[in-house]
Amino acid sequence: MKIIEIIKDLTKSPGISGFESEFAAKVCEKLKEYCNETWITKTNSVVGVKNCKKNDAPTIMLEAHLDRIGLIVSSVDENGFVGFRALGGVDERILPAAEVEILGSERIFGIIGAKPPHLMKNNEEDEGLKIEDMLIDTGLGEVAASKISIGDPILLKSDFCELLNNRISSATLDNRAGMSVIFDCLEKLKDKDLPCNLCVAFASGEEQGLLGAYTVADNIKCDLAVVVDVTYGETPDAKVTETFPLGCGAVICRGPNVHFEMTKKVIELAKKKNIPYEIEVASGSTGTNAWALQTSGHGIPCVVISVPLRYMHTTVETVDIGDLESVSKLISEIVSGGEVVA
Amino acid sequence: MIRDILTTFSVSGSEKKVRQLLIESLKDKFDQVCTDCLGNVIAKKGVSQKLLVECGMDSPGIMVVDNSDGQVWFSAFGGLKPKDLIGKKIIFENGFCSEVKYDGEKSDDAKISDLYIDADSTKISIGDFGILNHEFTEDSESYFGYGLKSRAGLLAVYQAVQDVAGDFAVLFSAQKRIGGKGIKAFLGENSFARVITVDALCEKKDGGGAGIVAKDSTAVASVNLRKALEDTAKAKKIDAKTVVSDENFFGSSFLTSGSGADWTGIGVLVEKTEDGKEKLCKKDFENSVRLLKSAIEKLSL
Repeated sequence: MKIIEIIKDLTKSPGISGFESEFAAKVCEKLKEYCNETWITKTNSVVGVKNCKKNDAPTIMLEAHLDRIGLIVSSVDENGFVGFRALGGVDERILPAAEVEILGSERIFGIIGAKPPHLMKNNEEDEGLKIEDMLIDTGLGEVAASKISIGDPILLKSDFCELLNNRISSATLDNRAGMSVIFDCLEKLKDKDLPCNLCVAFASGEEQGLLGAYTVADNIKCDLAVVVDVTYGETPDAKVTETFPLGCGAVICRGPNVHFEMTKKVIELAKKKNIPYEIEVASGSTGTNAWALQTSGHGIPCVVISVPLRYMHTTVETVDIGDLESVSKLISEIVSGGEVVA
Repeated sequence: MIRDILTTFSVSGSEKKVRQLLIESLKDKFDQVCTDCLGNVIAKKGVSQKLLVECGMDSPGIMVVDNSDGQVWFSAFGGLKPKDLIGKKIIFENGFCSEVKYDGEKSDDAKISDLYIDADSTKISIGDFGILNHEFTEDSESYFGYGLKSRAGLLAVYQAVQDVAGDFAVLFSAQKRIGGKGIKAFLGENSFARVITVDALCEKKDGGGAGIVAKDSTAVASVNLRKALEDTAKAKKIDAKTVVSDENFFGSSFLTSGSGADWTGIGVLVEKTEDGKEKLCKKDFENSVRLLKSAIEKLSL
């Protein structure tokens, strides 16, 4: 299966942060093809282990979060309008006029409406709408309260689409991009004799504060965690120094949140194997699950490798397929070569 | 006992009096009641304790930083803001009680460092703790006072666990109002399959019964556990409503403990009245107690 097919399939499932159980089951089933043992944690992270059957072999974890941002129903008024709050860092600017699906006892389509500009007063138009002022219209009217419950998750709808020049756009490429890279890597390594044990973790709750990552390694001693996530893709309105051009390859992070020596070895490996890469500097937290994994259990040395992504936390997140392939190739080399953890 | 629970001096970092009160009144009703190094009170019934019920036992407060010239200046912690303090009475651990003053014109502009209390150094020393005077009034339907919010969860748990059967533990956590310190220390040594945290839920209007937390400010509650509470309320005909709350029930602390736990919260509705007081509706409170009791009976076995 090509990486574009893997990612397309992964974007079909909701897996909204805090409501990952159904998606976790699907991912776990898929992971069984590549691992000796798989399980779902109490908080809906998925973990798989592939044992290399070599004495004293090190263990490398490949990690990507499986949850996506979304919304949650906070009120249903007598006329059927649905109030909501964010699950994760939703970009509020994209919400007015967005299409949504309320995932309660049944799936209900709705739209986020907004007051017409003609009726706005004073500075209302300039100030912008706040999430607590927005409402979802499902068309149900007063029967809405019998079909929609407070606490139901809400999906921001979006269609997967292929842009020109090897690019794709969809909601939830953060972090189905990371997941697709790991599955692609697993496919590459499927029949190889590996020098290390492999642990694959798809952590839940990252968008709400890295929640799942604190418990995925509870019973596993890992010598290295390779955290695969997305980073800021270059756009004309963003600083060049804070973003990475799409098509630049794998973005390898340096800073106190990652292991200094192992990261250096990953950079050397990328050079040696002619895998395109860029360096990202994070002077504090990387904003990824590495922040949690680094201090979980007895502590896990982390390496963070990212895919540049445009329009983060919107329904039109965009990545370059070539970058996915670069990251996949790099992590495959990390696992199959074994020198990073030597 | 309601008066004792609501008014006994207890502030984050100095919970001694309420701790003693809890130990004395619960020791004959639980199989084990103990404290840990941070001052949490842990009460256990049964042998396996798969269910943990948690509530805070401290209140936000102030600490004296200067007491020269017959005036006491202080810092505040646990979320107290100048508007919560101006004109209110502060009670200190030694029983001294006095009003918070502000000499500025607009109270909206006030900072904590602008506020003071008239008291000489023979009464109050640097480092002394104070809390809002928790004295309250009541009518047939509600309790009214300042500081009810920080004790509503404690009172509900205390009432609910008196005679309930089951296999469960209760954590009366210390220093909850300053970042859930007691909870974090406790979870370093303990883990549970299911956790229900109980705390106040500030609403504009009372009524509606007990609150069942679908999400707090830190995390989405475990769907199965939340639904178990909703089903319990329905089966027992307890007035309850599911809420998405901006309050901190410390859900993320429990979800990330050990191998992870199922977590949800029960909110005791507390209304802010127009004069700035807090109002605890007795009917809503009773519904919260009944829901917690029924949940313990159903989920702890």
